[in-house]
Amino acid sequence: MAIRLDMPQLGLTMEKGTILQWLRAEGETVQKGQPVVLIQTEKVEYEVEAPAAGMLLKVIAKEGVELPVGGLMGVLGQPGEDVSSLLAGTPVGIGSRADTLEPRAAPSPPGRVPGEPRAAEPVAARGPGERIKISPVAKKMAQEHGIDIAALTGTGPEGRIVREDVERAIATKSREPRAESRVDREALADSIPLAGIRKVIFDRMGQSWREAARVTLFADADMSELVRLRQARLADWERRFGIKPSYSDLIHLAVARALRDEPRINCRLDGQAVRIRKEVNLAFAVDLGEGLVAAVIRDADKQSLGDLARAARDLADRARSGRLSPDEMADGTFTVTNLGTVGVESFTPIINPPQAGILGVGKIMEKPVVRHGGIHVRSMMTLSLVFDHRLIDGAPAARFLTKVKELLEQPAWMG
Amino acid sequence: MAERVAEVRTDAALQVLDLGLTPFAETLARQEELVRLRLLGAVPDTLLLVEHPPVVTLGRAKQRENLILDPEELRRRGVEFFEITRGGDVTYHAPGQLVGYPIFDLRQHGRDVLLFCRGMEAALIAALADFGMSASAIPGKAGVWLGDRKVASLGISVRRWVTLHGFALNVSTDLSGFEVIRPCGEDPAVMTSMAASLGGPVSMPEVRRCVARRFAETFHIGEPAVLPGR
Repeated sequence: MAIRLDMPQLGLTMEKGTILQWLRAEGETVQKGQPVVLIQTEKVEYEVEAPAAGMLLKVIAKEGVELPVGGLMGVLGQPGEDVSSLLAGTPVGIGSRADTLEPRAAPSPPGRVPGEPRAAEPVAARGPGERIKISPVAKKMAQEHGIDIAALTGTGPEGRIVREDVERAIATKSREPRAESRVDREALADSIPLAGIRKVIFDRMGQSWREAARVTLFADADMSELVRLRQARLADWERRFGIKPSYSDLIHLAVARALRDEPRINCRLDGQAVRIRKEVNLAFAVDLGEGLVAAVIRDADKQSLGDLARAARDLADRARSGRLSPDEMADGTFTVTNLGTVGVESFTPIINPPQAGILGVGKIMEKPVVRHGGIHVRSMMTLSLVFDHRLIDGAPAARFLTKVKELLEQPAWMG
Repeated sequence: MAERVAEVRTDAALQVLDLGLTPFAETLARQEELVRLRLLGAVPDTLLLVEHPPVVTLGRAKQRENLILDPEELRRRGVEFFEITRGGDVTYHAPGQLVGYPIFDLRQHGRDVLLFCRGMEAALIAALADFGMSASAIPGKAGVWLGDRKVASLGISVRRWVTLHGFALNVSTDLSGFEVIRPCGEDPAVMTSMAASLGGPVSMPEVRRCVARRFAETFHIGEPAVLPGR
């Protein structure tokens, strides 16, 4: 099966690379892990290794050619393999996956329908729920060697599984390819290496989960007034700002204001000190399809609604096209993450260290609310504040969350 | 940038080998050996600090037009010449220039080669700040700059996430030596040194100490273990 050799993503901000030298010529074979091609990005030269053993079937990008990350450099495979399907309309996508194109699923053995579960072979000659007859010796052997006795056909009296049956199964199993190549053959939909952005997320989320003393505070905000205000003002806002502020933008505005009023929440862990920051650098999570980043709006508390809305739009657009600079992801002091836009009611997000808090924003939903002895239909939204109790005490966290709730429930100040 | 640089830190300590004044070829062999050992996990992240006798090296980008004198002429002038496998273009080393070769396993530093370069720049900028100098990095122009003059160049090579080659910081380098090349395609006059910029002598041992400490601070925990490398 032919394998793409793509321009790897060697860093979050890497956009393109140049082919310096092919270390193998077309038609030469290479072992898994051996260097195939040298590339350069900025002042970095990098040896790209073969993701699997095979022959370099085709060099697509000649030496000196510059390619975007994910661009096709060459094709690796078995001698005589037809790679025309790989070459036709070569998609140039972002991503460092040097894995197979098109037939992602392993070739099926003859006579098997692709997608059919493979565990069913060999078919055991017994009905569902029927007790498996097996000799004690055979049972012990099967357990020791990890043989699934339900998949065995017994050759003893009345189909009883005997020692010989298990021995045959063990022999068959040991002839099978090793675990690694079995994984290669598995019908993986995709394989995402723990590298680049995935690795950053992997490490940081893990670190946060291991280290932070998380506490979550929930509050239901009555958004009815804000919904009304937004409807009433939207046309005017659009005319003034050139953009329609979303609920996320209005929430950013409220959170930035609340952080200014409750600066104790606006802190970060810095070595052995809790640093309470003057500037409010509001980070917000942007979904990238595969992966996510937190883009940072600097001095968010000093910005107008229009500025905030434009900044968020610009950062999110550029994040999705991979054009965010490291600075625009750095130095956030607090994060807001809104899953309400995709229908989530409430959730407990993970703090992005070294920050000390993150606010989860749920969906705005009409709900029955009891007030003054009567039931009213109101537009409600659940806020969840997750904070690191090592850095922030419960009372200031509660004051902050209440402040956000009040700012959203009485939105006249938003103008 | 503090947050981004924090991501490239590992919770292991840095080993620094001080090679004093050592010819380029010998140091290259030492690097190759350390890369092999680093890949095996037999040595920790290691920073080689060294000064070279005059030498011009040409990276794989092989921009020969940036070589003003041909290799023969260079040798006649007592300048060695090597074509090597590192990122970047042509560069010049001579005594008075602190050359650093970090042999780091980037799997411990976020698997991001560009972030690693930015980290090197940050470490050098911090080391220059120890001397009261306000240096900066310029996006798209790797290296460390004092205003519009370049005080440190960098260029690395990465094999299976282990780095070799590194940076060259002009401490008190005789800058006229750069006139044999166009450093990275720039006018030789773009180069400066700490001494030229400060207008006075700079202690090389002190620079070595600061660079070692700032590298450890940027990429590792604890104080660097500085060992004589020869």
